[in-house]
Amino acid sequence: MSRTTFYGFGAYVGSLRGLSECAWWDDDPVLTYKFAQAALVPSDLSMNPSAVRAGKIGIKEIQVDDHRQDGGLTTIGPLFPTGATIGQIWLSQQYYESLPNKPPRQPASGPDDGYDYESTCYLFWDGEQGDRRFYGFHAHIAQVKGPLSQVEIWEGGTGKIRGRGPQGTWWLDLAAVALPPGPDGSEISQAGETGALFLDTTATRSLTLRGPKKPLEMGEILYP
Amino acid sequence: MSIEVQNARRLLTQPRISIITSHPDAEVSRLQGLIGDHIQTDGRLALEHLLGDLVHAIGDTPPAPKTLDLIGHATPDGLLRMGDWVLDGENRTVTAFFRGIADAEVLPRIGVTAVRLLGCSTAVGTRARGTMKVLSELLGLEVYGTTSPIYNLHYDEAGFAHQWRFLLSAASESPTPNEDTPAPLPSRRTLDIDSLPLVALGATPEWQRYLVGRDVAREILDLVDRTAGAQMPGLLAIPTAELALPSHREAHYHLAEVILDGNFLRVYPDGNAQPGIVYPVLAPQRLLSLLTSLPTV
Repeated sequence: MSRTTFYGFGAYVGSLRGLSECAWWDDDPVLTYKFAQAALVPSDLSMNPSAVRAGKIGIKEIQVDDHRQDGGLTTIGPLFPTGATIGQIWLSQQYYESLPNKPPRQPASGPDDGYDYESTCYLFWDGEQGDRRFYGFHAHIAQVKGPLSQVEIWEGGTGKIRGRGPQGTWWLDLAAVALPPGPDGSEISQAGETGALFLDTTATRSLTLRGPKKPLEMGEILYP
Repeated sequence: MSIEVQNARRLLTQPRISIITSHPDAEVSRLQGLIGDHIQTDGRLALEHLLGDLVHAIGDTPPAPKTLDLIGHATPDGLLRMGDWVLDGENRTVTAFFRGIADAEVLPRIGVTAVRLLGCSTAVGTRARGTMKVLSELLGLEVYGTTSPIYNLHYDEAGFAHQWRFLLSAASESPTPNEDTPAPLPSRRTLDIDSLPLVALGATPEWQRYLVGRDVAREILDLVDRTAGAQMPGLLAIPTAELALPSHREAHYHLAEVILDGNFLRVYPDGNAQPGIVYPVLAPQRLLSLLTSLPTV
């Protein structure tokens, strides 16, 4: 079973290097980075899952998730100079780990309101979960009854805010719509548990769940 | 200006018809050199003749579905200019023209499924979006504009290149991105039978429908955790049974569905068009056994 893990970041494009190649800051370029060129993170937006499906690159070469128009989460680009220059970029874990100047998972200037798993997405290529995507949420299982669990789900990136309630409460068949508990998977499955819950696209669409606000200055986004 | 029948027939088989303004400047010249099959037009009359030629060229083969791409410069407020003709939805000449071709069903006959206004930022600004909306309503087709400046980079020999489609915005889209629309905030709902919609019983559903008297209704509601209601999105669970609960109005009832083998009761407090609210049943077997004593309708 192979899968690609994506980490979400806010992105302010600071330099264009090609039709799909750019370099970006993960935080405010004025107040945080003062336009420091050394802090720019390079990315080629064409090194994405669509390119794997087209046979152009291998899975391990993926740098970023697809653009929203192609079913992914990235909203900058997808092509320059007319593509968006402020928005979200979702880097593959492998590419992220290879970066000499890794941006922090949560923006340094932000209030640190979200858990890292709230900015994490899994794309499965094969196996039981083949071709499915799962998005991370902070959630609490209030009760379990038969096949359904009553789940409170927080808006993306707000799980750490004290006193902030969930975006909503739903009865869900977690066996059908959530990634099973396990390492790098959901953390919760029993009544009373709180933590990471990875939900698939069917769930995020029908629940109209909000993703993390990145960059903070932008409006919230709904998961696809 | 007219086009030969042979050329017109070829255009009818293609996925887009690119009509470029004849307004002479360097950028227009570049586009005219870049796009293979295209037609130049200098205004409303030329466009009318051109569309007429295309209609007359329709042969035995049905035209391919296509977009009608109008390519030119835009005014500062995002209105496309074809030759000396500005496509302004507030201009009666413009609306009369498009109403005329809509009445004659010109565009559907030549296979056009959408019109694209390909100039700079033709989907940005109140007048530009208003024009898109007016044209779309008149034509009964989707009309697309652009969200940023576009130029020869965005074209290839076949016309506007597919990879740049993210720059297009449809007239039917809200000018505010959907992502900014606040999502509903479902939370736990308390079951209040009296607040459920009142309905007169219609056609019998595919599942068993039970008529519930006041005493049994009270007993059933005692079996339900009435504070733990929430939506259950995704595939709808098919009801095991439907309960017609009594109301204060004669021959009208509050409906509730028994789902998942009696483990849950589902109601539609916000109407059938909204998601149902699901409540857990504390004693499913007791509920199912109560149903056996009820009359069916």
